Amino acid sequence: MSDATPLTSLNAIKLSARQVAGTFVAPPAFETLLHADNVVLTGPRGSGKTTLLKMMQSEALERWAGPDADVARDSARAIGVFIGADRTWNEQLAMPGEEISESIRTALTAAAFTTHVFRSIGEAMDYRLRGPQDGVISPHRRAVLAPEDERILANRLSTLAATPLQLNSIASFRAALSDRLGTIGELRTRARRGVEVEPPDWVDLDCLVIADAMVEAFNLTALEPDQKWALLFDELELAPVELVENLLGALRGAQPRLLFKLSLAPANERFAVLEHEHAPVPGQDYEHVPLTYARKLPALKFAKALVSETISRVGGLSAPPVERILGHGALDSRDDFDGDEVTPSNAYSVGSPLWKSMDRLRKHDKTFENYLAQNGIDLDHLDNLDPKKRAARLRKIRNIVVVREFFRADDGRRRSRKSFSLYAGADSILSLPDGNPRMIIALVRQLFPVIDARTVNGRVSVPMQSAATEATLTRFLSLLEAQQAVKVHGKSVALMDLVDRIGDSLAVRLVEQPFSDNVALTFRVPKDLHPEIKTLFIRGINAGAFINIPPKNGNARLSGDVVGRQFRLSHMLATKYGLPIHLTPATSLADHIPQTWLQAPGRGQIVAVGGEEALFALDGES
Amino acid sequence: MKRTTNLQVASLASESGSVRYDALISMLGFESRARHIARILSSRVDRHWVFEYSSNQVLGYDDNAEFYNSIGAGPEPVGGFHEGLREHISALRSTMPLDESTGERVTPRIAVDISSMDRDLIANAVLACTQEQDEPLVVDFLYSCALFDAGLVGSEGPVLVNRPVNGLEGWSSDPDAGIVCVVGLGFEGRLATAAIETIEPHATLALIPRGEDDRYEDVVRTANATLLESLDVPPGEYNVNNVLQTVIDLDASVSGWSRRERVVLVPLGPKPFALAAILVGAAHPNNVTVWRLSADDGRQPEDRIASGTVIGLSVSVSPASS
Repeated sequence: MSDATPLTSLNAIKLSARQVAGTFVAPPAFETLLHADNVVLTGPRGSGKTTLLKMMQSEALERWAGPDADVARDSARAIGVFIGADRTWNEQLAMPGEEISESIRTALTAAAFTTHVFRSIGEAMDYRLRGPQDGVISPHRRAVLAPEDERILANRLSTLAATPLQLNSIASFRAALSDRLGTIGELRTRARRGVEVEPPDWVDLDCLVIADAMVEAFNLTALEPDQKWALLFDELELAPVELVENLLGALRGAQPRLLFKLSLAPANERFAVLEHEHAPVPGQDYEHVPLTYARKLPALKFAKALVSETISRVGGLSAPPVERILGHGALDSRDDFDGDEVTPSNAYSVGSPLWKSMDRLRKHDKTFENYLAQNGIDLDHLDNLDPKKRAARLRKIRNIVVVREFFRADDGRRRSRKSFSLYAGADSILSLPDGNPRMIIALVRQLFPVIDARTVNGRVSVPMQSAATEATLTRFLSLLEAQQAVKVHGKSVALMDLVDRIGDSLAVRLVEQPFSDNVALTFRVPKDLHPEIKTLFIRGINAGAFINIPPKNGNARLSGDVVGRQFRLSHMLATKYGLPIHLTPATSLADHIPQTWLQAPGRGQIVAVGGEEALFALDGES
Repeated sequence: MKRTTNLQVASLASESGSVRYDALISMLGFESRARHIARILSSRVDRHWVFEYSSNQVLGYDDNAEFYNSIGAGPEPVGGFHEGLREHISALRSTMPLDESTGERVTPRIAVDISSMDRDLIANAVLACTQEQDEPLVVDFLYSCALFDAGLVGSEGPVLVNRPVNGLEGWSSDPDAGIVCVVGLGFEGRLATAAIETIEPHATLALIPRGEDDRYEDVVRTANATLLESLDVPPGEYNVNNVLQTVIDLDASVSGWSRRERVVLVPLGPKPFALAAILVGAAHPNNVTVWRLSADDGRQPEDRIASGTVIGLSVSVSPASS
């Protein structure tokens, strides 16, 4: 395995369905995706949205060898039609240029999108009839048509799509639609050159109505009248607004044979359409499946499964528990500390590494010494306490003490130190990617440049784990640096400027302010945030820098404004600033950024992205 | 999609030192080299069309303005560059003498100094002179090389522009096709990474400029070290001083790739590569996109002083039907 693979090469957009199936490890969301009819899938970049959608295709399901593969094949009753998109395609769909009239642009954009959908449906039909058999473990919803039946079906499809010729095979139907896409491109070029363009009649075809009629035609020909087809729309946040709003509106189920599984970035103004009085209802018309993990446990479980699977697959070896390879670290891996104690009760005994951390801190931090006194904690006589009682008192402050002691200089100021070793140990290091499979795989490649028997039987040292964390962080920072900056009061502000402000401020709060067992290291978005900074913040959410923390028992609401919501920095970013990776109370984001990044009082309402308040997928955490 | 024009590229006729131009297009900006080509060609140019940047009128701007004033070239605002250039060319055609043998007007020959143009302007110039011409035209695109300066950082600020070049979005009849990304590297390692993170190609070819000063190459390799380490394919090279060969090589590769895949050209680094990428993008409307990343006005103005070397290529434009 290469230790120098770019994050981009881990992108499922560019992998075929069968390639995706070859390495797929099901995250917790997969089951919901399989069973629910209509789904809105949200997650930041790299969270696996494309992978999950591609796994809904027969071509992938047939080749998946995972432990739950047979159940998945049985559960996936609909035929998955993957409708891909990426930034390049969507930039083309947008058809920029003042020379093109708005009506022509709208018509051609819609026609291109519709043609792409029809073509994808044709591809899924073709696969059902004659998809290759190589690598198939168990077939999924294959169909057989006599040549004459296929000819009749292709005729019907060409009538529905208004192709100029009556076509005789699904393959020729697909080819005709590719030609149509070429024609749309030519019409765009002519319009851009100032030539008057008369749009053909087919630009007015209703995408979903015709798509439903197409699958009905297939169903009737294949004698499967009740067969459902799931349109799997990827990267919809990049698509033109009207198209996305139409699809979100379609979740009410007007097309009897079509299901919709839509993937979008979590912070998305398009969700405004779900706020209307007659909008589709979550839990009734659709399920929201978020791929963001505010809390560690499900993300950690998935990360461990993915690591084990990767080791087994690449090394051809049975993987031992990852804790054996990566060990245990200095930080408690739980999100909060009101549950049962899982740390060994002797972890806090006098002379233990944790005890030494506390002892060092009390010697140069008066506020910590006071805290111990006020709470009746006598470090020198801890052994007199029952181990369980001792752990109960100390577990709440453990992570804060470890990090504060690590970074606090004798003068009480924060000192600059590389902190990656703090995050060593299976539970900590595998929490860092926040369940983001692309980042987990990148981390695995750094942790295990070679996977062989030695890897499996050995242990990855703390320095190696630190180096792996640093390398993965560097790549993540590259992604954040790639985000488009904004202008505030005439000055450019990059996403990393915002992240740095927050991270540094939180680190000072943790290390330099008087010791608190309840230090607030999460933050809420204030309503007076400058609109451009809000735009930047939303870019940060969608890039995975900021993680929303819904209420613990939050409902499954899909939409809502970022204002007032609680966020934390991603765990990977916590390593840059030396922050603990458990949940803490919130302060206002305004406490961490310059005043100039807020709106002056009395300037009225925030003008949000796209002229509306930015909405995003909030609750219903996995 | 069909081509609307045919482009034929050749080495610069101006290298002979005797060719005359019906017009020269120049920019009035802060780089000292902005007047170099206008100065050396002044005796061989019938008209000067000068476009002036409205911001960053610092560094060599005043000297450049004084020079253009001295040759009687009144600057026009850069905001009207694309339309203005089209109109100038149209007006120029009507003034061209008739060829006695054919009875048609003589084909105009113009020169475009791209040295101080940003990539959008280079694209505007290329599109105005090629795709948007219905009649033959000969265009020499010229670039004034600059002296090496170890202090140059290039476009290093926050990413403010990250999108296709206007008019060169291309078109894909197969949006599911994979993307091959060709990144011309420069001093801006961050921008190259940003390009790849945005475009998400399934294959990336990085190209390193090789030119008259090896120190450029060292800086480029250092600035892009992380990116270069992460690529599966070793980087290629191109000769900055041979734009014609770069166009020919790029065109050959793109012609092959674009039959089955989508191609995105990201011309960071020296502008001659941007010119090559834009010309190839203009010649391949199907499946080829030219992408622009820039720190835009977030970058600090840096003076570039002409080294004395002028490079470029000549493009003969003719309507596709002719």
